[in-house]
Amino acid sequence: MKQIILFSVLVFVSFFTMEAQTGNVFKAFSKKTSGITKTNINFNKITAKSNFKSASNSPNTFSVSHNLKKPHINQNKIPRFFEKDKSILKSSIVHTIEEQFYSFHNSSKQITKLSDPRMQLKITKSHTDKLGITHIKAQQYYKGIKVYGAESFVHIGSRNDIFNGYIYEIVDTINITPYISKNEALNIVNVDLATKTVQKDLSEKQKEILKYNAPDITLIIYEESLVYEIIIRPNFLQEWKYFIDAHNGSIIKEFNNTHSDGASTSTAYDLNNVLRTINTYLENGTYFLKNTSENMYDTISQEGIILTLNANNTSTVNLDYTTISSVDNTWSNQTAVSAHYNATATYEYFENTFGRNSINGQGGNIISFINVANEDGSSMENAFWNGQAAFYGNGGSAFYSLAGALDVIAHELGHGVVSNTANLEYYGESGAINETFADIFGAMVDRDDWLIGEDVTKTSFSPSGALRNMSDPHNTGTSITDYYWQPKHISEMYIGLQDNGGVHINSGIGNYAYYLYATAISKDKAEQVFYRALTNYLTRKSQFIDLRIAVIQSAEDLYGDSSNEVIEAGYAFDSVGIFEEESIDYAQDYPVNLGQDHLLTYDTDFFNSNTLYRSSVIGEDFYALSTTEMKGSVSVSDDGTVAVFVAMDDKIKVISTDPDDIQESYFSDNAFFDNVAISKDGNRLAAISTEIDTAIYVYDFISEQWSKFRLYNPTTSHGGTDAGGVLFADAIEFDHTGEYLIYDAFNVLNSSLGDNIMYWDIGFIKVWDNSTNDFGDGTINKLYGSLPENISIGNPTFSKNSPHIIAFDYFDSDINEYGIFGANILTGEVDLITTNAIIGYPSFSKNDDKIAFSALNMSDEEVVAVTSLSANKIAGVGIPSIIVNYAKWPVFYTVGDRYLDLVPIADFTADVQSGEAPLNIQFTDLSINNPNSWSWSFEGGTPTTSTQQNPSVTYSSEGMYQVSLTCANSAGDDTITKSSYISVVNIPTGIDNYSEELFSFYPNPTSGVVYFDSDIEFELKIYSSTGLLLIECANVKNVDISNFSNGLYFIHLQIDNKIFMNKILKL
Amino acid sequence: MKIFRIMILAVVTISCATQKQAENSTTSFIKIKFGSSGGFTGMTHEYLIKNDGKVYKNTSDNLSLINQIENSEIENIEKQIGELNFMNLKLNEKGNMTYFIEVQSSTYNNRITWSDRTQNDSIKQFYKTLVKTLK
Repeated sequence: MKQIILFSVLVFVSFFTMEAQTGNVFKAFSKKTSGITKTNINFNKITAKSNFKSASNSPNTFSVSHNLKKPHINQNKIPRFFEKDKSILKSSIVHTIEEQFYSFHNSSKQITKLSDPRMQLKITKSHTDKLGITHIKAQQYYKGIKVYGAESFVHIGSRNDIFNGYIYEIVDTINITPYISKNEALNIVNVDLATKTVQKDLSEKQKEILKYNAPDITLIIYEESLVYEIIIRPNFLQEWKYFIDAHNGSIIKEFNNTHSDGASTSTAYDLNNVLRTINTYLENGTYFLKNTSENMYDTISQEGIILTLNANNTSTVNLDYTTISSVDNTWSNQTAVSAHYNATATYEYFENTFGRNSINGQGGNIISFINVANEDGSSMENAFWNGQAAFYGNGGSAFYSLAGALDVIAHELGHGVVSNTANLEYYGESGAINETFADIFGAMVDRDDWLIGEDVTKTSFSPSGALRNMSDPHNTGTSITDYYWQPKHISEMYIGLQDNGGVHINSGIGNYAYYLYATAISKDKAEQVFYRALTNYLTRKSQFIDLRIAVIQSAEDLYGDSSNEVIEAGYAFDSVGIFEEESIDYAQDYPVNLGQDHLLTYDTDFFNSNTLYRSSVIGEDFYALSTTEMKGSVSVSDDGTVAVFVAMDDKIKVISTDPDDIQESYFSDNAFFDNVAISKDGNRLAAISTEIDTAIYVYDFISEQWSKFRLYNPTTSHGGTDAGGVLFADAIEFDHTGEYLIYDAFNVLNSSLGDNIMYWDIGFIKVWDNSTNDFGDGTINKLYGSLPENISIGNPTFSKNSPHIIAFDYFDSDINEYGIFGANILTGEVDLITTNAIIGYPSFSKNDDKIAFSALNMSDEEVVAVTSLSANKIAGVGIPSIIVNYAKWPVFYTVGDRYLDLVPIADFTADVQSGEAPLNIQFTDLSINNPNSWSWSFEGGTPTTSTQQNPSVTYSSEGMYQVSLTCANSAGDDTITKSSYISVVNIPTGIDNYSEELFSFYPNPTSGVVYFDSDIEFELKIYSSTGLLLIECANVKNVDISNFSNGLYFIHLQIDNKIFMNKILKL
Repeated sequence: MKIFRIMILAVVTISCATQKQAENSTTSFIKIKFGSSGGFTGMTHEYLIKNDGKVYKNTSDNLSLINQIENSEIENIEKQIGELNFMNLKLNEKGNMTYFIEVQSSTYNNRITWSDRTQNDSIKQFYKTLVKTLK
């Protein structure tokens, strides 16, 4: 029979009793304020801090109805189209365009009825297209007066010449002397206009906007009459056209010539002389290269335009741009047409292929600048994206005008897409991936081949006629000294500082991987996979291996884990040397304790004096182990022989679990404790005091020392509240290594509204360090960074065999519900084991296939129940069943020995992985499961091996090097090898400031011998662009490099203990 | 006489002080390289200003003289180098088009790079000053 609780004499002490939350309670407790209790505990204090994550819009324009008249039907007898074959005999005379034009018309008089083509036709413009056809436009005149509407073309080809347009046969009797003056004609117009519209003089500002000063009055021949053609703006909004007979003043014709502002289209020749339909925009009588016809255009914000501007041969340093406009929606600027058309085509590709809303994904403007020059005003042989717009130069010796290539446009705008998604850093591997995606977009928009820039690259620069070739990155070159060569495999990768770490060079590797992939599965699928990788998985610093991972994951997302698309992605990256990274499986289990398992429960029958019972795991064969009243559940060592608990006198007691040899004793006389736990190996205790001292106490049996660990919250803010924190811990349990405790703690946060937010949460604290065999540093990690205000979690416990599996109690105060949850702290998965009516104090069974927990029966009596677990150990299966009545605080345990050492899993990192020689690197061991020996191997490093845990190594020679680590403990060993892990560059350095009077060399460039002219002694070295020493000599007159490959080389001079550097180009 | 002697002494002292200051003045640059690289082709455009005012364009390591600037422009450049504290300047931004300036003197050699996204207006202004020497 339990002792009758005696009412003790009230001693004046301060008690702190609080409900965890208003209303229902997660865990009731009674704590004293700190410093109340006198103890003889001498402890080390351990406190740690740790982390246990347009461009310009068009202004509003007026919209005026368009008043069209029917055009006159052409009743001209002169045909509007005919062609003539050229002579098959080759002429030795080279004719000018003008000569050819008039020769054509002279030989066509019978058809055109022109008596004197030289007088009757004036050439207005001409151009020769890529096919070699010359197009000559002309205007017909009658006795020096323009014939209205009489424009025609002659197209001079190699095999035939073609005429099209209008030439009118005009009688020779028209009097070309006007009888009324221009002013009189204008008066007639104004009188008539007054009956049709509002006339209001324009202000100077309005004239400037409209580029209109006064009515335009021209004498013309109109339908065999001498006529004044008058174009007049009676007000700001309208433009009218009048035809006034110049002899009798009659109004032959008049109409409102005002154009409706807004989107329009036109056709014009691009740089490749292909006739393109382009979207333009009419605004106040002028057309601009502005496309407002795409889905992205927002009529309210007027964002979402495609705009092409003219940089007027200025550079970005002093950009002086203008709009590109036309008064009649005709476009002769072929560069502008190309840039404008290609930008629209690229926008439509992204929209139609990926549903992407413009380059920035948000319907943003797409702006292109043409005619961009170098800083010195020379023609720029380049194109680039500056983060906001694309810029195109007009080429020179190596390239044609770059706007002429659809893939160049798509490449530059592709950089914009990259900037607005993964934003890959433009350096090293991430920069090479950036370039790869830009080339991918270029090749997918300009889809008929795998060449990049083939429409604008001159063969004098690149023999293939393309700047790059995704299907063969070597691109007819032999090495990096060929400017158009790229590597197609990691083994050929450029390592150096030029070109931002080789972004344009090493992009060949990713380009080739894409080519292989697209060839295997189709371009349609490949572009979807890679786009998904770019927009969902890649990040600013992504490396080649990350690209592989992202692409394969994207393929899995789209086509399934075992799909052909996934397999081919792996093959593609394997082919370029980007292999799957060795994955480390951290989820290791301990061996099951093969001894006999039992169940401990605490009896709740008031009339039973026994407290602690041992039974079978199914609640049979009970043996009483103690009559001591306990403050909490017992904690058992892993071999099952010893248990500890805190008695109601606040003292720690130790008890054996063998009912045939029951031994119970006090651990110490310190009446200071609320809870206690024993480590798996039985070497340490962890304890919670009776006071609010925000601490956990740990005792080491071997050193016989105590340490006091301060509790804290690594995260200090909770949205809108003042920083608050943990007050005290309650439940505690050691992990399998004995280094960490898992615990629950009570927290109070002070709200700025004056309310207190009180909750329980779970943390991990490092209290021991096996490598030093000493107390740990007390660093804390929380299971959850923050919990909802209505949620508390606590009473955590580790599974018996999986160190990454835990279970814990859960309480939702809003709905007054309890539950027990399981969690995998490696994967982050959480699942419900069972609902409950009270806090459960869960305990895993020997095989982790069951959970025992405190519960209530239908009579609200305390019982111990058990429920089965799924194979993942965190989800409940089936219906719980009661196994012990009048009981609580169940603890499964097993009597038997097992090793709790796990085989180490080797891993490491380095503070830097690439740089210039000599490169000093600090390696850090990241192995888990407590290895106690390390064996490193450093190919190319000094030292080449080490047995230190965290060694430093120096690399002095250029190359890519492998690093291996083998670590071991009593359970076994493990090795990890990382190939091509360290890359070292050897760049010759020097200061090139020698006087040219003292030393010079020539010629540069050279195709063979280099001559040296020097009055002083010198030592000479010549390096390749990758840092290989090729020639070493001194005081020579000349050096023959004719057998060198074409390309760039470094000349390294030593004069008077000073080092100088220069470069020489071998052709 | 005494006053005259004092005046002479003052003049000599001032002259010496001035000369002493001149001896301690900052060394001017020897060479400035600047330009841009990157873009679609990855090509580099580099220009060179020497302390004698000659301005070169560097094409495949072939220097072509394109301009000769006045002393006043050289002084303006030196002034800006000093105002920027160029020898201690650290700037290493990268972009699709990267701009660079490298100043070499008898005591230091410093190179900075930036992209169009840079917020460093003073560097852009200095670059404009250098670009002006090209014409």
